Amino acid sequence: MKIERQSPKRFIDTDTIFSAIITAFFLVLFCATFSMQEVSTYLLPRVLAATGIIIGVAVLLVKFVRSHRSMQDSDTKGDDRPSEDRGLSVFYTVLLTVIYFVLAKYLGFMLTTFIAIIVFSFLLRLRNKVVIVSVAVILPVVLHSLFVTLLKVNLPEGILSSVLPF
Amino acid sequence: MLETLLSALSMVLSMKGLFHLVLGGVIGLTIGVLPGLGPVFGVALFLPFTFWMPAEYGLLFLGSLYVCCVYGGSITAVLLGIPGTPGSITTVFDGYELSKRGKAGVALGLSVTSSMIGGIIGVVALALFAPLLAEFALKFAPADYCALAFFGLSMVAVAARGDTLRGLMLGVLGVLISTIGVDLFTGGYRFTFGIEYLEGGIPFIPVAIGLFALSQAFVLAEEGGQISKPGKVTGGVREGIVQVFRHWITVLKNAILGCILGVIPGVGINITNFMAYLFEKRSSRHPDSFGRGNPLGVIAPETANNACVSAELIPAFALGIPGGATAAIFLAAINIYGLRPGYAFFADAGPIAYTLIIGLFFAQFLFFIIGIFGANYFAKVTLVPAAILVPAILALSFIGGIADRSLFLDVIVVLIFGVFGYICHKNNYPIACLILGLILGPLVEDNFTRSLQMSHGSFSIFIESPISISLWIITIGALIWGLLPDRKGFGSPEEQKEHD
Repeated sequence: MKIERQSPKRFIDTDTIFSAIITAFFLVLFCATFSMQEVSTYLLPRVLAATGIIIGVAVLLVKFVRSHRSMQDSDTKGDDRPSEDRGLSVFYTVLLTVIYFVLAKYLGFMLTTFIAIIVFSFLLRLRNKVVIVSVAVILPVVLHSLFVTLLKVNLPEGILSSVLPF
Repeated sequence: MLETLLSALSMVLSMKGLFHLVLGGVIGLTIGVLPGLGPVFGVALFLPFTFWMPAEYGLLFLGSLYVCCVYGGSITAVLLGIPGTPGSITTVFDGYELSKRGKAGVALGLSVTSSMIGGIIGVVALALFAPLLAEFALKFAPADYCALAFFGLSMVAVAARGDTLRGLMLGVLGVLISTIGVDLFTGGYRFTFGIEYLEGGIPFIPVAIGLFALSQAFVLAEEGGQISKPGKVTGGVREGIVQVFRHWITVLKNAILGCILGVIPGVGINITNFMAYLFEKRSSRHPDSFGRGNPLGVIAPETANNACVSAELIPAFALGIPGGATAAIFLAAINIYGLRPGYAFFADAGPIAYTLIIGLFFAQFLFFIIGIFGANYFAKVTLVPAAILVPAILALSFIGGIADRSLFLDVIVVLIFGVFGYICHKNNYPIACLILGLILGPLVEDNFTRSLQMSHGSFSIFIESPISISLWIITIGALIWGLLPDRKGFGSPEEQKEHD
């Protein structure tokens, strides 16, 4: 990670948007407290939501003032590694995670985990086929037997439910 | 008395006793390292298996399982940035940072040694001061609990030192999230928006797994490579052990803190490990070095939460008041064995009570031996390629989400908070504050409402007792300290040199 002095910091960036979303969330919750009947039900949440709005606005104001003055140094998330060392874009990771979770429910945990290991190994450029296949087979089986057989956790078995011996 | 002690000691050191001790320890360690499965789950799951055992061996087995489970949580916290139990959340902040620098062995040495010493002090406290400490815990009224919870929340200012506003924002968000669901006092719905799932509230475990485990998987996938950035593990477990003894004052004061917080019903290891971490950060001359691989950031919470483990059992055994969920299961266990808590537990069931206490003592050595001999092998996990670790973390996150209630929507919560945690991580938001709010939220609300009910709506109840007044003064002080400009800058050059 390298540290460099930035030119005037922009006000609208992911940080600001994130703070604004949280502040808006506080606002929604604050409004929602007016649909509650009992005082003790809404008192604390309303006070907290109002406090959240005030803090959220203060966070945005501080950010605005700092960006306006352009006085702050910041850690850049610059990465000086060669491009081939870099991993997967977070967008694709989140997308694959959503697909993995949904498929795990319908196809079953073991089969989906097997597929996930193959896919991530391919995308993150692991080329040792023996390692990939070994891990893809052993990990789901070990996790399934540990959690389902020993610890009695209900994992979705999906289409393999009729063929699983345990 | 001496005869009872010797009888209990011989029982623990018999073949049968050692078998139950080791069996419980290995099972506890296994459950502890698995995200989403904490000591409550472990003790509850294996309680029925102890019904066929004699009471002394049943308690020995459960005690060993409990102690080793709490320690086990710190192994994944250090190696993967995934707290195995909620009691190891703060261990992630510095332990995982050490692993990223290739010092996983050192971090494991720190955690196992401080856990053992903390645990031993906790057991000694249980044996010597049980009735005395239990009496102290009874002095806490709901208004004092409320002040204690607000004091805990004011620690947000310490956790987010230098970025207090954003820390407070996440802290308030955490408390608000904890209020989602049915109000236990009035039965009214809060923030459910007609969604049936939200009526039960947002479960804590999936949130913690999302914030710490899944978000780490996203970061790891993005960065590629492996956890240990230098690509090797340097520094052994021995270095960690030496560092713990070098910081013996930190160990001692956090063990005492763990004992004190442990005996207060409702506090438990989740809150204790946060308090210890934040107190240590607060008292440090270089608070900015916390979260960057400071050894004290591992020593403090690990000592405190393991001291808390035994101390949590004090009010349960001495007064019949469980200090936490796990203590409640122990209480159920001793009832099932036909024993009664209180003075009778120590007087009538003497050998059985002391078998448990001595068993808890030896369990500390058990996990220490496993931890020491396994550390160098465990540390190799940090060299596993991201291509293997990422899907493994996804699989564990899925299991951790679904394990408790078998609800797929809990997995969705994991996903949502995983993305949230990733954004926080990228923008340097102090996630610790959100978790702190989430943990303390129920304590704040329950005692706030209960106090107002007791005083018929008068707020003066919150400043009536000396305990409350003291806590409020410290709370205000902590908030002011947090909002003051940081004059120390970004850590001293020596400190940077030491920790980089």
